[in-house]
This record gives sequence, C-alpha cells and structure tokens, in this order.
Amino acid sequence: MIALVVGVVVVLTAANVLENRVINMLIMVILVVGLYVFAGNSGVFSFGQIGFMAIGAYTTAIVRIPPDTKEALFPKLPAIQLSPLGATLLGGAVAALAALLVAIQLMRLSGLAASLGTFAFLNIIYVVASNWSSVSGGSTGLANVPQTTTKYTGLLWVAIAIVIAWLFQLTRQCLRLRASREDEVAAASVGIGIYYERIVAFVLSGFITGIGGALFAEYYGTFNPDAFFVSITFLTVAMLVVGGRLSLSGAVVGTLFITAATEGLRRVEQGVDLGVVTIPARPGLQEVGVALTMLVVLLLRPAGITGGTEIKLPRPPRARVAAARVVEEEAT
Amino acid sequence: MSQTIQYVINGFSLGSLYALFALGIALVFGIMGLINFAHGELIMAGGFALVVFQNPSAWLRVLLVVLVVIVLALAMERVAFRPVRRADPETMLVTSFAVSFLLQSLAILIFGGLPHSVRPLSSVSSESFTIGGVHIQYLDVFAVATTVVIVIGLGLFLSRTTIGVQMRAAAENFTTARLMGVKANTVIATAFALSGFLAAVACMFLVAQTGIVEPSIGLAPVLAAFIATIIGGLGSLPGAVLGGYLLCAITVALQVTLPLNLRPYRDAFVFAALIAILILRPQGLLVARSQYKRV
Repeated sequence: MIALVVGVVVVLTAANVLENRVINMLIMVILVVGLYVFAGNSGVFSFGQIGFMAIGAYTTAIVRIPPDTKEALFPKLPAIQLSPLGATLLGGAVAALAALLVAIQLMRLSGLAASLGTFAFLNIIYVVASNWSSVSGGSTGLANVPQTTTKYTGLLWVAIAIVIAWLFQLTRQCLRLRASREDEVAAASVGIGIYYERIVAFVLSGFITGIGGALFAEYYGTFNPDAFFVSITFLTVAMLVVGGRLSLSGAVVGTLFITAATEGLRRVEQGVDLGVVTIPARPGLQEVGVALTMLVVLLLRPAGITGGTEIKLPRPPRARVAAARVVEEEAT
Repeated sequence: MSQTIQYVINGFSLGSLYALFALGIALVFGIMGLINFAHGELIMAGGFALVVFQNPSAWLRVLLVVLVVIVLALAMERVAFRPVRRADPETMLVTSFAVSFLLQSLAILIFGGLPHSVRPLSSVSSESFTIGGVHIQYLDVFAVATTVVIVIGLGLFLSRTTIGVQMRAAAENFTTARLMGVKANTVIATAFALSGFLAAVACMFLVAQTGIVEPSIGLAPVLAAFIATIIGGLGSLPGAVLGGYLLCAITVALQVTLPLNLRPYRDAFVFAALIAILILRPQGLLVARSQYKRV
C-alpha cells in the first residue's frame, strides 16, 4: 500500500496536471477508500456514504466561515470557529456519529435491502440540506469557506485514510466481517455478531468519508447540496468496482484509473495535434469515452482491475528465504 | 375533500407509471439477478424517438417508439450484460451504471443537454372532464387503464404461453430450468424485450405529462422503480406493481397530511417511511419464491 502512496506522489510531481485536478483526485481517493472500508469488507453495497461526505462538508464549513461573513450571509449559524485541522477532524467526527446512528438502524438489514436503506438515507440528507436554509443555506448552499486544502494536506489525509483502512484490515474485527461477507450464515454459525461488526466498519467508513467531505468544503469554498447526491455516489461506486471492490488496492487503483481516463479524454476532447493526424475538438466525447472505458474494464475483468488482490511491496530476498524455511519446518 | 380526491387520482396515474417501470426492472431482476439502472435510458431513448419522429401519424409514432426501445434493450443485453451474466450482483449493477452513463453521454453528444419539447401524440392528452368539482385528465384515465391491461396481459403471457412458463421457471431456479431444456439466451432476451416494451409505454405517458425530453429524464423514474421493486419484494412481479402504487400512496398521503412548514421535507419523510418498511420487512412485502434463502 505504501508503494501506492509513493506512486501517488510520483504522479503528483511528475505529471503536468492542473493542481485542481490533483486535489480533486485526492479527495476522491479518500471517498472511495471510505466506501471500501465498509462496502469492500462487509460485501454490503452502500449508496449512502456520500451523505456522510455532506455532513462532514457542512460541519466544517459552519466552523470555518469567517465570523463577519457568517453574520452577513448566514446569521443563524453558531459562532464557533476552529482551525482548519480542528474543523476537518470535527467534520469526520460528526459524520462518524451520524454513521453510528444510521448503522444502529440499518445494519440489521442485509444485501439489497441494506443498500436501498443507505440510499434512502442519502436522499433524506439531500432533502434536508436543500431545505434547511438557516443552517445549510438551502439549495444555494454555503459559501466563503477559507480554501485551506492544498496538494500536501490532501496527500497527507490520503495517506492517513489508506493507513487507517489498512490497519483496520489487519484486525480480527475486520477478519470476522470478511468472513460474514463470504458466507453470512456460516459466519453467524461460528458466533460472529454480524450486526455489531458491520456497525464498526460503517462508523469507520463514515469517519473517513466525513474527512473527505471536510477537505472538499475546504478546497472548493462554495458548494450546494447537488454536490452530494446521485452523480458522485455513482462515480465513487464505479471507481471502487472498476478497481476491484474486494481490496484496498482496488479502491485506490480504480480512482486513479478513472481519474486518469477522464483527464486524458478531457485533453483529447479539446483537440489533439499528433503531427500527422489532428483529432478535432469534440465536446461530450469525454463522458462517452469514460463510460466506454469502464464498460470495457468490467467486461474483461468482472472482478475489477486488481481482481481483489492487494498490491504488495516485493519482499526482500532474505526475508523470503526465511519465510520459505519456516514453511518447510512446519511441513516436516 | 375534492382536493384530496384530486390528489388520489393524480397519485393513481403516477403510481401506474411507477408500476410499469418497476415491472420492467423486476422482470429482468427475477431472471438474471441484475438491477438494470440503464432502464432509465430506455425511457430516455423512447423520449428521443418521439422527438425524432415528430411527423408520422400517432399510431406509427407509437410503433416506432416501441420498436426503438425494444431494439435498444436487446442490444444492451447482447453487448453489455451477457458477458457479465455470471459475475456477482454488484458488478452487474455497476455495468448497468456504465451503460447508463454511456447512453446518456451519447444522447448529450447527439441531441445536446437542453430539454426538447415534443409534439403530443394526440390532442386528447391535455383535455379533461369534471365530476363533482374534480378535474380528471383523460391522460390519467388512459394511463391507469393501460397499466391494468398490460398487467393482465403480462399475467396471461407468463401463465399461458410456453416462453412465459419458461421465464417463470428460470426466475425460480435458473440452473434447474436450464437442465430442463430452457434456453438461457432466449428467456433473458425475452425478459429484456418485455422490459423494453414496458419502458416504451411508460415513457410515452411520462412525456405526454411533461411535454419535454432531456438526457436525464430517466433518472427519477428509475430511482422510483428501484424503490418500488425493493419494497414490493425483489423479483416478485405482483410485488413490483404493489410497490409502485404504495410508493405513490405514501407520497400523496404525506402531501395531504403534513403541516405546511414541513411540506418541503416531504421526500425526507417518504424515505424515512421506506426505511421503516425495510426494517419491518427486509425481504419486501411479497416474497418471490426464488428469493428464499436455502442453506
């Protein structure tokens, strides 16, 4: 996984990409890793995680909009002010709390019923955010959040999100959850409390997604409820499935892959001069291309690009020999 | 009082549309376990077919729309869904997202993102009559009547024809049905063709009500249908119809009973009710036999 982080750094510094694309990609990585922590490990697809992104974004915005602007534009907001880091953490914490409340209700469900339940939650958040004008600014949203997210804070949070997800994967808790993913009935029969295990993963996922939302608010500065609805939900789900939904590497690879495809096609769309042939500018080509790419990947590799395996650092040769010896000794 | 009746009548008309969309999704789900999000793009394709064929007579237009949508549904199955037939449900679902993205972006590329207005199929669609102070649009009556006819027709098709019986067998247990000589490709293609037919019919009513067609026209209906099929019981066809009408009933009931200051939040209450139904009956209201878990 660390290799992946390094890879991200290399991409960031080497590629001549606009800074806003890079930061947008980093935020997407956090969101998809957040989704993966729950959906990948539990096998239950959630269409509601973007609701936690919204909660993180609004919470952060409320404690970050400068006092004078707040008084002028949104007089009913509480007068609390926090530092960017504090606001990001608060965004994650409030989202995690919301995730706990949702999980207590919804984690009794399994399969598609659970997916639909989370989707209903997303809709409730959307309707409330669009109408609760005194707090959320209604359908016009909130504005003037200081733009404090940079490449480096973004990258730092990506690393933190990946490490959290990876450490979680090493715990017994996660192993029990994965057992329930493979076979719910068998897992329950050996004493795994699926309800409880799913709640833990859901809350952790809500926290990471909330952080993603907080960074989103601190990057764009202005947003409205439409930013947290169906299209970004589909996009994150698609990124996870294209990458391979059963592994953390898949979550990261899928995001990088789809972002790269989008970025590449965006340039083709503006017209490319290849010396011999000139591809004319063609607006709308990007979306068609991205959809086609996704489709081709899914048809060729239904389990996603990584196929559910983790990308590992190659072990140093000595360690490998030692490991082989242990195996041999155990065998004899 | 008459206002309430008005709401109920409008609710019945909208519920019929939801039921038709939900039936299309449930038919395909029952047989191959795919929740087809691209069903919304079948609706969109029907809408644009109405835009393209503005001039022929009403009957010819209806025929052309149905034909275009059925061909698209079959093409979708052949190109995109057949290769992932054995994959897990999530992969199939995301494949259908991708198909839906693709068709929507193609529509934007060809027709542009702005709404197109459509010449109505006939002048009757905007006329109405009044009984006891209640305005009833002919269109609403026609939508409910058509839905009833289609539901009965579909029931007869599934119980009386060979292919219908084969489809039911495949929905109950696909492997066993194949062992009995049911052709997998034929039943799946038939399910897609039927779902295309249902989408085309529902699309014509939808466009007659709104008068416009745009690339995102399919999203709201497909979400409503998705909800209707799950609360009705996934894979159960009567459940899909019931779910469609129930969803509308809840919406209308909340519209009538909520106090004015809470009315903007109506949809939030609808979804809260939905969560309550899911928690009480996670398997849906009517359980299809294929969905019982065997251990």
